[in-house]
Amino acid sequence: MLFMIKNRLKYLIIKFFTASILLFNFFPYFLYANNDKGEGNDNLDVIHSKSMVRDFVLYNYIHIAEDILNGKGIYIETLFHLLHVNPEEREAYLTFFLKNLLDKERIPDFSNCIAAYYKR
Amino acid sequence: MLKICRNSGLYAALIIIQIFFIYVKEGTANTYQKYVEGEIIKSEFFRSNEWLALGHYRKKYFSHKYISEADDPDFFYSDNGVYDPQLELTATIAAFFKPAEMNDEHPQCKHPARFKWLKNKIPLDIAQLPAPECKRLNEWVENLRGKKVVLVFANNYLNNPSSMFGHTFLRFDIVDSSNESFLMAPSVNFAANIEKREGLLQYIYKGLFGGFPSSNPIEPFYHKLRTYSDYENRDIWEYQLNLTPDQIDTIILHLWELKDGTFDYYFLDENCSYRVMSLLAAALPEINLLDDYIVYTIPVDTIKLLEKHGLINSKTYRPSELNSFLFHIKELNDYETSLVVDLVQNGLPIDSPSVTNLPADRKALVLKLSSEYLDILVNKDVIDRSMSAKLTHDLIVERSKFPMPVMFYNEPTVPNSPDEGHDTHLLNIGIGSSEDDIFYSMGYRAGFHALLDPIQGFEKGAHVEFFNFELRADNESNIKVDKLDILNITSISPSNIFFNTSSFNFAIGGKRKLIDNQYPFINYLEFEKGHTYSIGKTNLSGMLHFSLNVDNDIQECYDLGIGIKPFLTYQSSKFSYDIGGLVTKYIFGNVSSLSEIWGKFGYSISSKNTVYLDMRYSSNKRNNMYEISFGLWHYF
Repeated sequence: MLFMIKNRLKYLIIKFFTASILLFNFFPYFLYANNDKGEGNDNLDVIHSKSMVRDFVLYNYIHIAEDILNGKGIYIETLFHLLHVNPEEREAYLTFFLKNLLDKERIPDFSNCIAAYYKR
Repeated sequence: MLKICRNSGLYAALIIIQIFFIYVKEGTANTYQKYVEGEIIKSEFFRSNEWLALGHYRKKYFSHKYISEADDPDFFYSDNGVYDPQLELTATIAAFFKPAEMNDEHPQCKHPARFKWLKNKIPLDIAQLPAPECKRLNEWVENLRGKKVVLVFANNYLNNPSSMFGHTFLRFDIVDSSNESFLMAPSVNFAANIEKREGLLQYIYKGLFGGFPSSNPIEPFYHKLRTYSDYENRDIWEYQLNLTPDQIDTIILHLWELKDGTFDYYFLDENCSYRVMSLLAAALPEINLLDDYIVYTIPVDTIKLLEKHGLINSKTYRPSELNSFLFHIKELNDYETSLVVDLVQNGLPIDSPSVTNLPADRKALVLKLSSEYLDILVNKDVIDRSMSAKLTHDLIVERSKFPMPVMFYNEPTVPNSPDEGHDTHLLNIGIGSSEDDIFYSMGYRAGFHALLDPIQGFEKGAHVEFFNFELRADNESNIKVDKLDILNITSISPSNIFFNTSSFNFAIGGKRKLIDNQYPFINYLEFEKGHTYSIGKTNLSGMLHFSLNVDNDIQECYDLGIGIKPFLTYQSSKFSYDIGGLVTKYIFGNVSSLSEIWGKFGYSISSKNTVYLDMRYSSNKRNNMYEISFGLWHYF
């Protein structure tokens, strides 16, 4: 029993950590400030869904932001799906996303990067 | 030594036995292959609709001989496969017996829909056929794994000649998975692969006569949604198709067979919609899906054809980002509307009292619509993206201070779907009077929609006509061509407080025009650009007019004109009108100016018929003439 709890806890920590890194790096606010292709973080290449999440966030940033503010919507649902977020974890993720979304310290230069990506 | 010799003999015997078995095995394979070929030829399966659809064979109009539409030689196994479905079938069967070691390159892997069809046609003993490992095919099929197929229609887009009649593509939806949305659903788009360096003339030539290879990339649906809905402001209609799992399987397998470049792309006939229909035809061979499209294929006509055959289950409307915004903005009063403009366009600080003093829910609404407005302006390249980033962030931060999500009171109303619009061919009969002479008119329009046609199912303000001609006969049975419009595109897009949009018209063809004392048939090219403003439901437009007229009746054989054209237009499902005038100053002609005024009215009496009244008056310094006619437009 203890073993199972430990394993579950370990799984959740790893998952949350992975998702945090993904979001931290893929939310265009900060990753794409100086790198419009987002090629910087090679250490993240191991994460399986990197390109899919990146692509999804880049294309749909404004819609995802809207859904985060509303606390629901098809775009945030899809992002949850891509990040393998369970229903019981959603609130924690939404809080985390909102915190990142509103962070004023980060350079809001994402739009340029979306444009570069779209017109590539 | 003796031992070695004895062993050598043994080895030789083993080799002979092995060769014998190989021979027997090969012999058996060849025998079975011959049996399969014999069965297929005996039953004349090469004439079956399925095989002809899989090979994209069409009969030539005059010789009635087959020719495949596929332009890639690799699509065929027979050297003469493009012209001969029988030879191609025999060669395909032979190819299916190639050694299994080819794996992904094996014809069974490269043409799985053909293989599936063959297995359905005759009870194949699979054990007697090579069994290659089709790894790439299996992965690809797994990725598409759609259980529903949706035909997606993006409304016409007048800024791109290849999209002015609309665009269709397919989406493969996953129905069993509740947590994966349609946004990720793979979508297949048949499009022309156009290089950016193509010049305008090359673009037109290749688009009409071939030269652009087609590409059929598979992308997640959100790519298409972002492009069509957000960037090009086109409403999206989704038609879920009524297909069996087996038919969907055939579509997926046949799609694998169609690589980029299998077909050349033509704007008029073998375009996106035609390719979608030819793909569906492979799964629905019993239905004639392609015979209606000889000269050109209009996307909305393909939807109507699918509906006619009961192949559409349901439809969904997805308004463009712009139309959604224009609908929601009606929730704001004039003061709040001006705040949205000031926040986005005029640098009004978010913390200014005019914003902060608003009630919380109204403020949230203003901020949300400001975000939407900003995104639309950025997508239209009106505002620089780098400049907009900070404002977007500020709007989001301010919005986040309100605990409640912004809820609109109404969702955009669903307009009539494109398939509910009038048919695109038009027959015109009428009677009229010109300078006291009675005339009778008859005409035909190949497509698509004019401002005076009933509006339901079409974009308001969009006018696209091609190959529109009219013959006139007088009382003495003299018949003459009165009009031959090759192409006439008009976009009437009202400017408002949010968007300063342009309206334009481009037309090329031939028509009768008052030149000096005569009314000759001249060739013309016209371009007009200007602005439109809404007065209630009526649009008032003003355009600058440029024209080039070419004809022997003109003094220098050609003339350039520049003019001003104010006009009013009104469109509804029943009644429409176009009232206006044009004053043109000519540079080279005998008569230096021409004034025209007109009033055109259309009243829809049924979904198939509209009655019209057309009045016009032309005047130059030497002459003037008037004309009045009325008649019936029949859509079919």
